[in-house]
Amino acid sequence: MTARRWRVRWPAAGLIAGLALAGGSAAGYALTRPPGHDYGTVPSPGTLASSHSAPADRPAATHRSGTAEPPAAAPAVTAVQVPVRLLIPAIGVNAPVLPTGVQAGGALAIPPDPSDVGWWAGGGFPGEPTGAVVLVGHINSAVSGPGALLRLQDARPGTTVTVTAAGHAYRYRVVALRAYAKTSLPVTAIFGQQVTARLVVVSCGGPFDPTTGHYLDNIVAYAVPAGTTH
Amino acid sequence: MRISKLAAASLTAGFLFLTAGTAGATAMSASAATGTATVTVVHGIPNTPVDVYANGKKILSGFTFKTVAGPLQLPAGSYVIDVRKAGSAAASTPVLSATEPVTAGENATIVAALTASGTPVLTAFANDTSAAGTGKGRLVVRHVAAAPAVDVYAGSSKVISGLTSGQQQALDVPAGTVAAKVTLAGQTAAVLGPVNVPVTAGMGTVVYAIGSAAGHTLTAVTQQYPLGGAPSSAQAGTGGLGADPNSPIWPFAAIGGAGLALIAIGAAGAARRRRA
Repeated sequence: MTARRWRVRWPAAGLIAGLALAGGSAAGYALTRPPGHDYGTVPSPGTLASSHSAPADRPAATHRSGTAEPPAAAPAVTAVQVPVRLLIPAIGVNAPVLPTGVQAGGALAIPPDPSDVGWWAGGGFPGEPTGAVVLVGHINSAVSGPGALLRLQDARPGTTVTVTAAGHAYRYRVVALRAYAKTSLPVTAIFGQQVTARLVVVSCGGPFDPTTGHYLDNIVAYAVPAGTTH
Repeated sequence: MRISKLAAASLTAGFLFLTAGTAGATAMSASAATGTATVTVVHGIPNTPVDVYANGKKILSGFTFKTVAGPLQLPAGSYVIDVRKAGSAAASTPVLSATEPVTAGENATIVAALTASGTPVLTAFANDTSAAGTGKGRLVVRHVAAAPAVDVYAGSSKVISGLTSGQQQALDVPAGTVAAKVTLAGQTAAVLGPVNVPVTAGMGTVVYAIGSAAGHTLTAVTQQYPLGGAPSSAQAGTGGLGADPNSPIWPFAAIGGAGLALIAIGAAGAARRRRA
């Protein structure tokens, strides 16, 4: 009888404790993760010029009819610059940059070759007065070894970053480095575009979880424009 | 001269989609944030260098066949697009003219091309920026050539049938390189290709069939544009090489593993009990 009662209760107790421990381990890390990766101050969104604020919605009927509105005096057509290479000499980065986009579920796709860096083509362009140029690169790959941004966590405020595009070299100065748990990523701070010009470089870091094959953190470097060479 | 009705309809559909799609987003694309549209211009008329004007201002000079210009950022609004022979006076009569309304955040391509019968035409296509599945990109084929209906093959598989000039078709495919071949509809001999087309995860790759079959100028040009809205995550490492020695995961992994083991033991116990 006693033995039978033990058999009944242990599975239930084990299930509860097991679920608690399995579910709690990631949360446990998030709560106790040590400080030490955060440097500098993340730039504020800044004051956007009124000419760059979103226009009021136009009536759909106007759009459908295709009727010409009074032409603007001088349309500010801008041929934007597509980044082609990322240079961060202080931490040994010299990598090709390839355009990338967002997959279903919201994950920014990363170039398959870990020695390449991705540029979110829906985000900002270098040289523009507003918007965040978002670059993302591997820290490493299980298949190919070290990635282009292996040492991003060693960047510090003041580190110079150069993005080249069509013969122009856009220089930026790192102003902040952050390690964020992927479970609590400040999405607007990293990817938000209603900001004055900046560069945001994203990689992975922190502890590696062998059960998922992923790092638990994103390492994010924030940089501001520091001059252009044409 | 004319904007195809299909393209006009798709521009309207794109406008509606974007309006609905950005309402609940926490972050948005750069062009949506700045109230601009992203526009690419493709030249598909053989032997006809042109200048392109938007609302009277020259935006492209000496623009030649097979050239893809852009991306350009245009403030949302309505644009009169005029195409003139390269070097013509700004006040001269344009070769082609059309009115294009563009909306904030929209991604569109304007193609100067030939109709099936060889008449120059301006056609606007809305680029479908809806997200594709993980690891996939979107392959878009646009037939804007003076040529009959065509079939499109990816490798040895026919993926598009009977595409006529002025039309497009899209399919989401795993990232990689697609060997694309174009044949006249129902035939197997290539009139174009095979050409290697890179398909990138999270990106749309557009292949334009341009030129003239009769003039032996059929060729292909490509354009890439980003899919999806604003990102919510980035997974940028799978190897463990750069792990931080100061904040190991293993205690938590070990605890989690112990939890999983307890679940397994518990489940086994429950199964035993049911059998008993």
